[in-house]
Amino acid sequence: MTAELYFEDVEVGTEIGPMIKHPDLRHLVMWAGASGDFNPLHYSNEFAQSKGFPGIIVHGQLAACFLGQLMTDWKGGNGVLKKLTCRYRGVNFPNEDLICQGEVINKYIDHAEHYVECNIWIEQRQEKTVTGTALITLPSRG
Amino acid sequence: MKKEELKDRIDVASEPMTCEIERGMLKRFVQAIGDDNPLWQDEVYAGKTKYGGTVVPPTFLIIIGNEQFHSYTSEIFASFPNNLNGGTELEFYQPVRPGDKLILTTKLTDVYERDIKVGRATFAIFETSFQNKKEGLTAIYRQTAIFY
Repeated sequence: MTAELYFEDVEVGTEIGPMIKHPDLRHLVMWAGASGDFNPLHYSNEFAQSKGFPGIIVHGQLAACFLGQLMTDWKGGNGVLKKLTCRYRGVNFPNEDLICQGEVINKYIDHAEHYVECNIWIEQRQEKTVTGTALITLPSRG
Repeated sequence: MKKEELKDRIDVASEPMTCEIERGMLKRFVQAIGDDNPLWQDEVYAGKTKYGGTVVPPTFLIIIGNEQFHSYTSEIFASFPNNLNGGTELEFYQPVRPGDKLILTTKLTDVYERDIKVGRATFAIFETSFQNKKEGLTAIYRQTAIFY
């Protein structure tokens, strides 16, 4: 987790992460309980296979929350997450690494607020399974 | 429900629902993700930040919005069992703190067609707004469903 991050500390191309998540079935059960998403795709191999998947898959919303954590860990205690978007390109499987990363693509000042725009994504099995964007504001040293 | 009838639902809002941001639910959320950021649970740390105290992770609102989303969309998803999650979008306007009471409203905002790998599909955008009585608009959560 970043102790404190300032607008002047980042540039276009600055890398974010990687943050590695390795959810197992227990984590998916915890997420089901926390989120209310009890779709059997996320706890039953038989059901997931009946729907054409090789096995249990990770909840899409859980993957989105991993990317949210990537940004909130990086921005520090005085940064503010303004916007987060995710698109699901493929499924993620439990018991394997989900590599969460990002990259700064733009920074600008608007109405005295210091904005940093980022691309974010999750990779598993060398493929991008979730892609998205994040917009944060950061404090400035002035 | 037929796909043509979906457009009749645009801007038909759900009944507002009040949700209290409850610490136990928040704890289960951060444990499930594995997020130990002290901003969510350490008042001493959080008190020294611009927030002045603990706040909830922004994506926690996904959980808060789920119940109303399922209620609003159950008939729609039952009518279109072949569906994909087309994406998520969150906009944050105010921090949310444990104990806050938020008023949620969900509505279908757009319906359009597009070709995807498996053929012609209908895209439906659902939007949940989160209002805090004192602070006003707190966040917006948009979800895209793809029916094919």
